[in-house]
Amino acid sequence: MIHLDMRGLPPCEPFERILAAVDALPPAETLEVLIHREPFPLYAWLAEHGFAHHTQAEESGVFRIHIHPAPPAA
Amino acid sequence: MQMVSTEASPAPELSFAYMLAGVCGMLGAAAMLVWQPEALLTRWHPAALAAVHIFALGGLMPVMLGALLQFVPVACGLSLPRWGWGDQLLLAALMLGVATLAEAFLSGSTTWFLLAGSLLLTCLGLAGLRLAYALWQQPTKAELVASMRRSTWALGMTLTLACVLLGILTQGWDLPLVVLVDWHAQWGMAGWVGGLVASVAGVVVPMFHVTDAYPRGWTRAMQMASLLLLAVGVAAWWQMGDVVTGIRVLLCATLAGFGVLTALRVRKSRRGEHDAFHWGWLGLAVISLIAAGLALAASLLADPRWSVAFGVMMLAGFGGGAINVMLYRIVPFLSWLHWQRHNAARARLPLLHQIIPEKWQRVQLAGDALGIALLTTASFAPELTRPAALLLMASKLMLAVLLAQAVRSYRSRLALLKTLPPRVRT
Repeated sequence: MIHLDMRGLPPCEPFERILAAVDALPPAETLEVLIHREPFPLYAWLAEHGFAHHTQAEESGVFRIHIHPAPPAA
Repeated sequence: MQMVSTEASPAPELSFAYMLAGVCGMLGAAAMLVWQPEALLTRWHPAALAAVHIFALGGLMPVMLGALLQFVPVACGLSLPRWGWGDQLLLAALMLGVATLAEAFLSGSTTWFLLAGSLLLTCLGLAGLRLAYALWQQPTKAELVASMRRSTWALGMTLTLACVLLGILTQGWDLPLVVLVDWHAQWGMAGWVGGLVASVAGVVVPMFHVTDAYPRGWTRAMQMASLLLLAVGVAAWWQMGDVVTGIRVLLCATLAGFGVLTALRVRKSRRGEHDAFHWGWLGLAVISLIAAGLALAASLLADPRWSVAFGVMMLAGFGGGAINVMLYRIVPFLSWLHWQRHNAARARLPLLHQIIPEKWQRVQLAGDALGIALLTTASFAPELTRPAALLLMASKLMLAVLLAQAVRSYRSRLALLKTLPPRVRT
């Protein structure tokens, strides 16, 4: 799993860095992102570009997001 | 939480059209004061009432509605229903309604009031219902959604009271006009505009300044402010003068609290850049404190000019200033976001602060601040009204030009991005 800590970065730096990491993501690999706000626009981008995600909101207010290539549609 | 697609929010061009129309509305309100500078002699002057409504409904309202079309999906993860051409129609009807209302105040004609009331209540009722639908469509404990729901309630109260005032003006209903006008203004400015500015600030200030979130106590203060707005109207209706004054002092303290908390957060920014955005938010914090002081003076002193000064500072300073400074982030951010959506080539995009030139942002914000200060002072020195309004016109015109340039840049870069071949993943 590849980790990316985006906490405390101003817009639009997290979005740019996550996109760069996603571009370099091997097919069977998962990217784990830690971020201090829920990035709703990123979800839309991921869905449109063939990636799936799972978000877990932690007590501390941090969001832990797992991103991986979406399985091909049946 | 449901999956939100960028398809769920309208194209940013629609929001940009609302925002540009709003800036033109603010310019129009300033033009009204240039034309009739005696407007500030009393809050009941027909030109003052016309200018206030042009600024609030033709200036602040379109910008707020346009921004919400994008803010609700991006910040709350909720989708607003799309109306296609209905949204353009709504904007046109809103601006027509504002012009009609201004004519109604200037002429005192019942027919114009009825026409304006029908147009505006229909437009704003529909816009309010759509916002309510989006915010209440699913249960959530998110504080941002809760605070925006309170603001939507405030909009509903403002519109309901506008209906009643319309009944007094056109049907001769026997109700206490001054009490209801005050309540209408309080729900509109403190509940709807103030509530929404505070809600958005709760997201924008920590996010863009990279600073601490507003404390939990502030959330409770905002909840309490909604109850205070309800209480002050009831107390005024029953002519409980001391209670009204006491509640107003608490509302002043809430506004001052917003100013102090915002200033502290901006000062502690970990971004380390003292750019136009930094000074703009510090300026808004100072405006909040001055407005709170003026509101206190208006509540405690008999001189009615304090009320006029507070109204000017609250509407043009707090409302207009907040929108002005936020537009310098909203428009670049939306441009960037929608560019990125079409950036299959992964071309390097400009940074947010490069989309609208920083130097001109500073000049415009400084001009606006000076215009607001002069116009507030004009409540006591009427000879300053015209130069102050001219300065505000110039600053809003400059804002309109800067935003129009940014929109043009958005369109040209978007067209370019769509022609680039996609980057191939290795």
